[in-house]
Amino acid sequence: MKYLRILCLLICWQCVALFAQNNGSLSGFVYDDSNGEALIGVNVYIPELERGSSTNVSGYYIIPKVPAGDYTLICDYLGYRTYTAKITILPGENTAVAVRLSVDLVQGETVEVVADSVRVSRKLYEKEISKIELSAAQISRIPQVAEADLLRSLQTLPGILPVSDYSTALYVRGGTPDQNLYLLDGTDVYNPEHAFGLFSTFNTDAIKHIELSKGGFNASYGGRLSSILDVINLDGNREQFEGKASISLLSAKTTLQMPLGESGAISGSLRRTYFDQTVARAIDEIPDYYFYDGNVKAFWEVNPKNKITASFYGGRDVLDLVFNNEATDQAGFTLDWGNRTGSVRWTRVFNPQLFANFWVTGSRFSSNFDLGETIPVTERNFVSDITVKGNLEYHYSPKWLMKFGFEQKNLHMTYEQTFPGGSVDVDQRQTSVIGYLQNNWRPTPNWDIEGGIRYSYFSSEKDFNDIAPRFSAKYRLTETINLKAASGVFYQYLHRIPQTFASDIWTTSNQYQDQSKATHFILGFQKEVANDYQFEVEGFYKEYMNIYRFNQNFITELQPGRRMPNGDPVYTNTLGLFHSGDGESRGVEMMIRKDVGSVTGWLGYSYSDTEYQFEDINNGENFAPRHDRRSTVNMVANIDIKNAMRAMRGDLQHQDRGRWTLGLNFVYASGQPITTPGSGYLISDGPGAPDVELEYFPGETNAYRLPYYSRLDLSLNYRRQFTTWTMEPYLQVFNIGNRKNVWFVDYDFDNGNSDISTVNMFPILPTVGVNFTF
Amino acid sequence: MKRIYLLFATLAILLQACGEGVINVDDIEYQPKISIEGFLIPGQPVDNIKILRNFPVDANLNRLDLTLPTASVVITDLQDNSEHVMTYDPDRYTFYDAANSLAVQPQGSYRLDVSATIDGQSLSAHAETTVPSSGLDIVSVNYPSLQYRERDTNNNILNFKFDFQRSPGTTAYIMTAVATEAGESSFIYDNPFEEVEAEDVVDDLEDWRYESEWIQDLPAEAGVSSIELFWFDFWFYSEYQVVLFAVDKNYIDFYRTYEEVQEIDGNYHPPVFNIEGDGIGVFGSAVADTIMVNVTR
Repeated sequence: MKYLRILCLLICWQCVALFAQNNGSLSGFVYDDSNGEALIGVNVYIPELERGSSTNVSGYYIIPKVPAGDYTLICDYLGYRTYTAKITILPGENTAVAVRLSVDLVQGETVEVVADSVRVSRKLYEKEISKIELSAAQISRIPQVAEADLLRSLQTLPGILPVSDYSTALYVRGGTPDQNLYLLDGTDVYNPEHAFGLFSTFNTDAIKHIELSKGGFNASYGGRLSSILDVINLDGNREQFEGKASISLLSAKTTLQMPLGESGAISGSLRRTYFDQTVARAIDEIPDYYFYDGNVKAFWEVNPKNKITASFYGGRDVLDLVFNNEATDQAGFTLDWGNRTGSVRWTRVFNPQLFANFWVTGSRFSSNFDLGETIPVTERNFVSDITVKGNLEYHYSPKWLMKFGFEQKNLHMTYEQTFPGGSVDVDQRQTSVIGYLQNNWRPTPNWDIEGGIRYSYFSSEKDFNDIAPRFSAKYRLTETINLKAASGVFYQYLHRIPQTFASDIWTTSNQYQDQSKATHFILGFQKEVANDYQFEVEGFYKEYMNIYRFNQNFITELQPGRRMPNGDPVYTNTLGLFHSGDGESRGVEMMIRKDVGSVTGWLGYSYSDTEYQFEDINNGENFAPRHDRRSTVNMVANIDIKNAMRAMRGDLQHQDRGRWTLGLNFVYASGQPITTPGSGYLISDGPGAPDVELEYFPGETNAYRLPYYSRLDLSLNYRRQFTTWTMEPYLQVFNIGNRKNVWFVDYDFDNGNSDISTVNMFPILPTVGVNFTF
Repeated sequence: MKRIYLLFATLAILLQACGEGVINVDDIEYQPKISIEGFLIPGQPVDNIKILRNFPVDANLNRLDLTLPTASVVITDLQDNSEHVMTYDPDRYTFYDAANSLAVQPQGSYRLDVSATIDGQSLSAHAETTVPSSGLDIVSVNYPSLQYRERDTNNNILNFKFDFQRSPGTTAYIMTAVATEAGESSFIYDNPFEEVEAEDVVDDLEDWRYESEWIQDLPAEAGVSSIELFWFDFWFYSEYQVVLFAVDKNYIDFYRTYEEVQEIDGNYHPPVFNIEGDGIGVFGSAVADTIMVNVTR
């Protein structure tokens, strides 16, 4: 309480001090002129003072303590025309400038560095280390399986790997998918996947902005060891009705936006797969399966200082499988799972210097499995998360920005399973309380130093108290070169139990599992090349302590927590479910990226080396995890064909009514490690079994490397502009070379002869679809 | 020149993105192991200790002799430290107690020592088991005979449920069912799982006729528990010999893990064998009780 009073006094004193000087301040929001959407990450700059800022998650910016006078204001954002205006700063006053940026339909092949644009190197400088920003348009242009997918798009970036074609899970810098925090409009999403991981839950048509931090994230984020994916959905068009509809071989979807009176807007999206209603009706072997998801988001700007935003998401997968359709008396099982999230955010500008977002969020994941009358086996998995949090920014001076916040999270996790001879009944309630403070200091225009501290209290059957320091520094070495560094300590209290078929089960640190800990060290180099190319190199080292791997032989170590009246065991704890160990990842990532012009995209290379050491695995010797890939090359390109040809001829580029776009995604990755069966042996199938079976005994853990992985995807889009609407049919071909990338190896013996075959990943997969906007 | 570079880069990418990944089996390291399967049951002779060698995953089993007839196989009774040398039976390819000197007792502890030479390497392994105590007894079964997928008046499928007296100190039980009249004519073709041809039944007859269920972590003290055999455990209209085993930790650990070594992503992990040294498999023990049930059309 004492410290809170001091903080309030300090803030009040600074407010008084601000206006007692011959300074003013500049603040406001930046919007998309076409639809009124607040824009995130816009570079705002006063060239005369070499001072800048960028808009935050609410589209708000402030440049405090600007000496009174006349200046130029420049706002620059990818895909929009640069905004330039003359402004006057009055002493002791805040100058509020609401900026509306117009969409730039054709961006030139080269960007001329003139006074009214922000250099690429400065944009890179403003970006936090290891952070990647992508727009929905960029995501949708990367050729994928069936349709655009956020998580699959992120897998094309250096440092982010998939484990196979069949999974959208992200392995970031050697970390595992459970070490990634997925935020949807500020709300945690626990199992962000549809179709057993083939697709993610995020509908790309509903996305406004995404930020992915691959490590070294600041004190406002925590709870995971590896990465933060922050997805922000469309607020809604506050100018006019706007719609988008798409149909692909996977799903049909639509996104609608419209104004809500003068001061608000609403957007909504709906997506559903439909092959259960088409193909599955004709072919009995295809199970009755579908998924759907939907978003609704609305905001109401009460006044220039207060804004309320509400966002909801819901999605579900439903599978009803019959084992044998030909049988007269059929049997099968049902499985359904999905997420629901909701958040209400209050955005408050207390004064030009003090900006805040307060949230109440709720997230719920549930899954239900029922084997029906086949066998009395049922499974219920439930995760509930109610969170209250606040993030505040105090812009004390051009040199000092302070961010602080709090979070209280109430978790409820239940897992119930019934089976013959026992049951599982886990019911856990946990609370976490978090506070953070972060100071950003810019002693000169070329230095940016940030130090922060995050305190976490996590209470389950055992209490945990942790303090996590964070540090980062940026330095503009020259006009075109930036150097960056970051380090930090990260704690995680959630642990994942992977399941073969159903969605993963989450559990938390308790008396059996401690909190996991990671320490990151990152060094970065950025260079602007030929005015519009971004070249980045980052080296990282991550150290893990107390990370957990699911114990595949857990069943031999379970101990019942209580018994049913008939003596059958009831398992109520996580004892024996995990192996505990340590590890480290190190690597280097390089990327050259171009975001403007008729040819956009990136070329990336990453080298990564991850090693684990678990007492109970591989005889305690170090081993590489299954997702470890040493070298990966990614190339993503998007070519506006007509304008690219014009550029080659030296002609002026312009926007055509009909536009052909070629998309390309190439990946090469060195082989993954895998544990092979070192040998086979014969043994009876059980006590008194009349015959022997051939079984396999594994060799050294992950000692064998699979062949390299390589794939080329292509897409061809044709976008036709009509008076009030557009149509964009597309053809995508996943793995156009039909390369047989090995997923794993299958071993068998046929009449005594060895029969070794490979189980491959996706073959060539062509798909078509069409998008409409109106 | 720039276009030529572009053309070469495109060709390189296209070539790289074609073809297939090739597995080189020679890179998979083979380590010789002694495969052990020993199961002691009080009141039964020790006549079925299987000692074999393991083999490389690319072996030709028609040319490779898996037996180890010269292996040294000794079981030590840890009550009196008496050693019992097992003899190789070339007809059954198993080792047995030719002197019939080893009488397996409930709650008795036994140690198996095996040594053999495989591919020129001298290997040895050992394991210990403690036999569950006596007292296991199948008290009753709810139906001596059931039709396949027979339903009660509420349309619920009926299953065989066996009440049994537990073996004190033992928490894990395995129940096996072996069809005594298995054949292609008695096979249940109209099952809800898969379409099976008669020739497949003949080819895999031993697989089809043997099924098992298990339960674990029952109370260690004496008392009555239940175990079920489900309708899907039966593939023949037949009489079934049902054996309930109270098994030691070695056997239940092996039984629950030896087949489940491949994960969904194809990766392998080791099972729990409780054998020290160069051995794989199981050396366990059990007490047993038997009952007959019938599955009718």
